Amino acid sequence: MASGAGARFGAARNAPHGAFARRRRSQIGWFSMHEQSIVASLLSTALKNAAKEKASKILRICLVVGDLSGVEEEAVNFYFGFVSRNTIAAEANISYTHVPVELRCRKCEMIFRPEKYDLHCPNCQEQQVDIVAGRELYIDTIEVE
Amino acid sequence: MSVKVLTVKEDILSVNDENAKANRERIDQHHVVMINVMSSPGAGKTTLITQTINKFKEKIRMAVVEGDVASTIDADRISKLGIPVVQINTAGTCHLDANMIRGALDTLALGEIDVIIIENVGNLICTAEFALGAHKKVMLLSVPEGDDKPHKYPLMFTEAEVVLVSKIDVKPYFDFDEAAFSKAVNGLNPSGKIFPVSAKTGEGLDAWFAWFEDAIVGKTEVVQGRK
Repeated sequence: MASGAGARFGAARNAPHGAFARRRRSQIGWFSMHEQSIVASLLSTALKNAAKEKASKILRICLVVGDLSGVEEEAVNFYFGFVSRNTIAAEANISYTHVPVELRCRKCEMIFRPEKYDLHCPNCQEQQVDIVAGRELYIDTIEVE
Repeated sequence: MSVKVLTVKEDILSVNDENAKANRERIDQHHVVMINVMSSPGAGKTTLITQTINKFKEKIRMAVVEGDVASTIDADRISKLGIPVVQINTAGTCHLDANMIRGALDTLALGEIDVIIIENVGNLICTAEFALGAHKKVMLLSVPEGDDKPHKYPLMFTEAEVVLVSKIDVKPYFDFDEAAFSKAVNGLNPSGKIFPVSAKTGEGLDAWFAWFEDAIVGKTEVVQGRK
């Protein structure tokens, strides 16, 4: 096992390292972060839906973003400019609808928006909560022609 | 040409979720159990994984997938233990995604492995959002990071099945309120298990090992038909 494992390690370590690094650097340079992979999915989802309608251009993408998704508008716009080049979405505007975090108290069922990182229910002061809103990250509509 | 509004209502991460599902099907076919370990940078993931490998490597066949923004430092540490390790360098991206794991699975001899431990990129935000196809999600929160983190990163503490409070050997030097922390974690995640540990001194590791034996080693025996 030990020698086989060692041999696999050498090959395994080098192969994905090179492949992944090259693929990602060539796409968007060194500014990669959270939004990079999100923008790639955003674009492919928009293009797929536009293609179904045989659209020639995507004018607008209406995105719904929960506050827990950690998605920043500026970063999305920045990456979208790169990845949408040479596609029918190159000139598309992205509009954002933000969804605030909402919690449901498991004791008294009250739904509330937490303030300043406080997870206590303002009604019964309990701290046993389920996240009911704020995780959203989806395309609501796209405008095409 | 007229402008048309198309209703999409499609999750941005659905592509990743599909890839994660495919990863799961693939490892299930090979009777491999996969565990996703997450935390902030420097919380002690590699040390915990090293201890866990040393404890179980004679009993089960293990492999590790190392996710890092750059470098092979962690993979080099793991490889000294004589088990297969795959390094994924994300070149800036702050999490592993299911497609990267698919690439890692391609390089592993899945028929010769019982358990894959994924060490995710150090991050408490987006690692929780990107499904990888793992059977279990585990996280570490080190004492120096503070007991307020469940309030700041509720999603991570909701997703993790096990929360290890790591580096408890330095607790005398920090104002870490364990009771407040546990209350916040279990408020978000009533079934979440909390294990205070020091991977350095070994304190508390028995509880973690017992969980691992039951949830991971036990599951491999079930999926491999030995139980």
